[in-house]
Amino acid sequence: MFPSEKKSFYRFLAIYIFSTLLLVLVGEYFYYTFALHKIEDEERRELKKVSNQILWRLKELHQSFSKKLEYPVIKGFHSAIFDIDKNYLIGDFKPNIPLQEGSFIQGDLFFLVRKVKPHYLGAAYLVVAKKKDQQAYNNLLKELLVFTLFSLVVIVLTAVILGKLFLKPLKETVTLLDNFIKDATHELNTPINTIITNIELFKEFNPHLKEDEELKRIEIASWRLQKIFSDLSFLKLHHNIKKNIEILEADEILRERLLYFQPLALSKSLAIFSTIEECKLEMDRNDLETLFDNLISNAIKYTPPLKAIYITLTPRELVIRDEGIGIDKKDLEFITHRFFRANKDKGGFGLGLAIVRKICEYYGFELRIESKKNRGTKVTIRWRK
Amino acid sequence: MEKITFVLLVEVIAFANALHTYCDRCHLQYIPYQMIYKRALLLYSSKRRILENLTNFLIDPSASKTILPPGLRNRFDPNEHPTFPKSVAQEAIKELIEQEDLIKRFYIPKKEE
Repeated sequence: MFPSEKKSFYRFLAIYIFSTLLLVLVGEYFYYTFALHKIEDEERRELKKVSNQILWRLKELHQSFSKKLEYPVIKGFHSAIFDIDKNYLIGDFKPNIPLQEGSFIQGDLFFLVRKVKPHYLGAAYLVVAKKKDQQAYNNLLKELLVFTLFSLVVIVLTAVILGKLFLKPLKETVTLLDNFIKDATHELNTPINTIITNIELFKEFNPHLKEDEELKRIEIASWRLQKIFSDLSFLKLHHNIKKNIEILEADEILRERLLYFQPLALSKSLAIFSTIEECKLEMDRNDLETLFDNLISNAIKYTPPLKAIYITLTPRELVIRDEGIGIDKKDLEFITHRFFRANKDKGGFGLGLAIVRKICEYYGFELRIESKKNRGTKVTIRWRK
Repeated sequence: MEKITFVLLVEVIAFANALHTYCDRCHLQYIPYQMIYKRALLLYSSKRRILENLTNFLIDPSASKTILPPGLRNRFDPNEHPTFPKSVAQEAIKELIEQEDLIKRFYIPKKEE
């Protein structure tokens, strides 16, 4: 799986799972409320039935002339009566609750308070209570937990299947593009090298044609072609190539690369002012060369003729400033994205700065790009974050 | 006559057996105190309210204040009922409540587990 594909896949998974789970939880909440009311209704119904029995018995006791009166005690329930001034009269328990008609739960008891009229035995309130049916509440919670877990498993499985299904066309396209780049770079490698080698040989055998304009144009075009080829190879093969990390004299390498780009700069009559201090870097030589090449070639490419490019290398940073066409403020944040091109007039694939960013990320360098439209661009690389 | 006055005075001062002194003496038939108390309980529920309402009746008896059903009301015409000072009436009602308290007769059977 490609990194971008993996990112999209996980994003899809997260959004799908979260939204579906939210929907399930909302549904569960309504079910829980309904089931809770059902349990409470059942308890209330039971208490009402018992309270009717007690009231009937109180009526009988009120009419009785016996010397001793037995208070009606019902197994599994508690009851008590209070007079109209809310004074406790008698009962098999003495609850400390607000005497308001209705039902409620307090502690582990479910209470029902009923008003009594006529006041048999002086009772104005009858309180009946029973232990909460904890088993029913536990069963409900257990049921919901099992359902949530089951839903979660189903949701995750569905998300994975759907995600793979939706990402299949994207994966196929990316694979196709990747294979195309691989094949194209492979096929281009031999002819490009043949052209460059033969130009060098041609110049050796025909020294009088070294300054020939047509030959120079062919040479510059070949270099550009080689640059595009190396950029594509870098992006495709970058993760496969084993890096040879060593201490490099960056100042020497920069001087070499400036020499390499001199003909190109001269062809556009550009002045390159460089201040190069001794600088040692621990990195792969190819990576450092690619970094310099991309930044220098970009500066040359986007600077109009007769302007200047300023290059400063210190042990702390590299600064390349040009007097080129600059980049729009809105494009600045995308400028290091792969295949993004702020200016489509100059050709290229939009890979240069994407490669620079990749190298900086790999070595932990800080990359900063500042630009003003029609004033120029300044690229700064701090060697360590 | 002086002897009777003396006995009455002593009983009033002592407030002993007020029901007997002020009720039984005049009512020729047996007074069903328990029934009266039960009726008062049905209507007023608390001892405080029974005391308040029955005292009001005894200090100023009237047909509208009586708790007796119509049949009994005719037998004991409230209009002919004597009036009592508030303290005497209260004492008599307190005695009635104490004597006929139903809650005292209750017992709680042992719960079967």
